[in-house]
Amino acid sequence: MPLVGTKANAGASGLGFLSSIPGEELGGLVLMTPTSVDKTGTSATITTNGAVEFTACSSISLNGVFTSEYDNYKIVVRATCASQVSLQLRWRASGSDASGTNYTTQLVYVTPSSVAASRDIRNYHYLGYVSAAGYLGVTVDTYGPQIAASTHLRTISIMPYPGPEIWDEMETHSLATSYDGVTIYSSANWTGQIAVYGMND
Amino acid sequence: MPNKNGLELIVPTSITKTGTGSTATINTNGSVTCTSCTSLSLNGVFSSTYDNYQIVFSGVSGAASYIQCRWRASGTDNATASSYTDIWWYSVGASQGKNTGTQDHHYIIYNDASRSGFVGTIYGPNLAQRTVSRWSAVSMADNTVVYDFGGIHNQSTAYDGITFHGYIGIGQTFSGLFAVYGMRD
Repeated sequence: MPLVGTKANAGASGLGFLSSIPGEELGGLVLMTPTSVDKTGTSATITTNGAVEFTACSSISLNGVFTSEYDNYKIVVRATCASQVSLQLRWRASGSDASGTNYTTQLVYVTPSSVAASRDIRNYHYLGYVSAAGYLGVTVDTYGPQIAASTHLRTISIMPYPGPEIWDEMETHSLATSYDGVTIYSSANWTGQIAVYGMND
Repeated sequence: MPNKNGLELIVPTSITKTGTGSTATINTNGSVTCTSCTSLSLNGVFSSTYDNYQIVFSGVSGAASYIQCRWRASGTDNATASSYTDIWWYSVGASQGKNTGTQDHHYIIYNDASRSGFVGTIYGPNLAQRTVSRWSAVSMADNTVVYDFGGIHNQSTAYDGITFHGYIGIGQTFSGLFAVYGMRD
């Protein structure tokens, strides 16, 4: 009998994370449910399973998504915006963003005319550009955000802005802080979905 | 009750293939194994249950060539001219470069008869909006190459499937294992 493949057999008695169910097999990726969401903008909703869908927000904070349960996480973002603006990320602890200049980024970016690299130290991490040309898709793998040591991430992104671009990016955050959340923000209202997955260990 | 399983292996509702002497089988859990195909269509793998997906491939091509793909709805590939824009960079030995193009398909890997693989992340293929995708590939073609493709498809169509093609127009064959995973949301 397959253990995966249909919603029916992936429910509470299948590959879910409710460890109280006897004999349950845990999946490798576990969708996290934020304990709360803070927004600046129109609307944000936590879905039944734990993803966050929002409309016309300039800032979305997911609180309580990183716990001691998992060391490493995957963050998947799909976003669009009527304006052409950058999307940024900050780690977050107990409801406050880490806004110091502690984010070191090494980026390889590919445009129709060039492939280039850059290194910067900022008070945020760039995820890419959103625009009305279509959806930005970005996947972030992050290592140990809830561990009180420097936090590292690696992103790959695809964006239609204003011509097609792909980014491969790494970032180290130098503070030895235990983060339980993340804020993704921009200078204009954007719409999309954020899902955070714990990597079972 | 919430379902927290982050990645769900999807079973195609059906598969179709082309290629002289080719085979294709849906495995017990839902992945698909094929041999000597010039095209392989996975039908019914994208649905309203998930917004985003990952596709993993491990396999070979009959000779050094590209595997390409087209999005598919109700059993028909979307082959609209100039609707698929690609941008990619690559690294071969001590060199690297980039390329871009717009055609009626996406490029997703350059490989040969040695083992190769990719992970593709697909954002919103079943939503009636432009589908964007990202393909990270590695192969032994040209003594090991890393390719990273990004794809933007300008049709606002809800797709339920995908067709993988050996280089279109040449009919290159490919063999291997494909698996499609829904990302829980």
